Amino acid sequence: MEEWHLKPFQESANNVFGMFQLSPQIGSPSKRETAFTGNEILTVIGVTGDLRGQVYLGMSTAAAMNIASVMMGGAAIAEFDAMAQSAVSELGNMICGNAAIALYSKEGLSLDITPPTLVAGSGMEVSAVKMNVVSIPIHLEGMDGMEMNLALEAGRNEG
Amino acid sequence: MAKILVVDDAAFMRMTLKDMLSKGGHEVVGEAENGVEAVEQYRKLNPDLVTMDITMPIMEGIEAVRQIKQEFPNAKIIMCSAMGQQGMVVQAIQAGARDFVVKPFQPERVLEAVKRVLG
Repeated sequence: MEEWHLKPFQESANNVFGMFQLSPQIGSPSKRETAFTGNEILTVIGVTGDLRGQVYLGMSTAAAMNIASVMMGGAAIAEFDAMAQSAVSELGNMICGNAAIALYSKEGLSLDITPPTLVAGSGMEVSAVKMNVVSIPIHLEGMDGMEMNLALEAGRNEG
Repeated sequence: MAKILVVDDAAFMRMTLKDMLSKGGHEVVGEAENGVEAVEQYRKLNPDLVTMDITMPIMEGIEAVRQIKQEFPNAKIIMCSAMGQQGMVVQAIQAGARDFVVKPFQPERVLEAVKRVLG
């Protein structure tokens, strides 16, 4: 995974959160040598094609409920129910989808993504064995910090 | 007012689209969460228009467009997907989709596409 692979994901996260008026601040990427924490709510999107691996978006339950509420037009959310889970999963989908559009138009890389998986729990540790993992911190105004972790490598087709 | 079938694997996206479309004066007559259900629902409901996601389990959206168009050549389908790179758009249009809207979308953009495709 090269630096120019990361920028589209940073920009996409910025755009998608921005479209929901969530005022994001996207931090600088850093390489991870050890397992990363999944926080409490972790969405996982599979990537295939010229890059392959997974994109993880981890956040606290409070932040996830906050984000889901905003995505639903400000509706109050009492618990992290199926609809809220669907909204947060879709967020990961949109960030990866928009990054894929940029990677194609700017770099000619063709990616596809899988439907999202959402994992909920506490004290989760995620290890992407044999993959280089890069962490990108995301801060949304008035919420706990989130983290996007990218475990991607060049796919077979990349020349 | 059009009778619309909404196809997306995410309950949240179906709810969002339903909300946008009904505010625009349309009626969502059915929902499907994968391509196989979409084809079945199309046969059953014969809607005026379909909004179709691409990335879905069981059968993805472009294949569903092909199957619907094969049986119903006049079907009007708009893709509503997070995957909007050129290759995907070309494939969807070749399969028979009339327009392509990229998520996250603005209500105006969706209603505009619906109006154009129906007109």
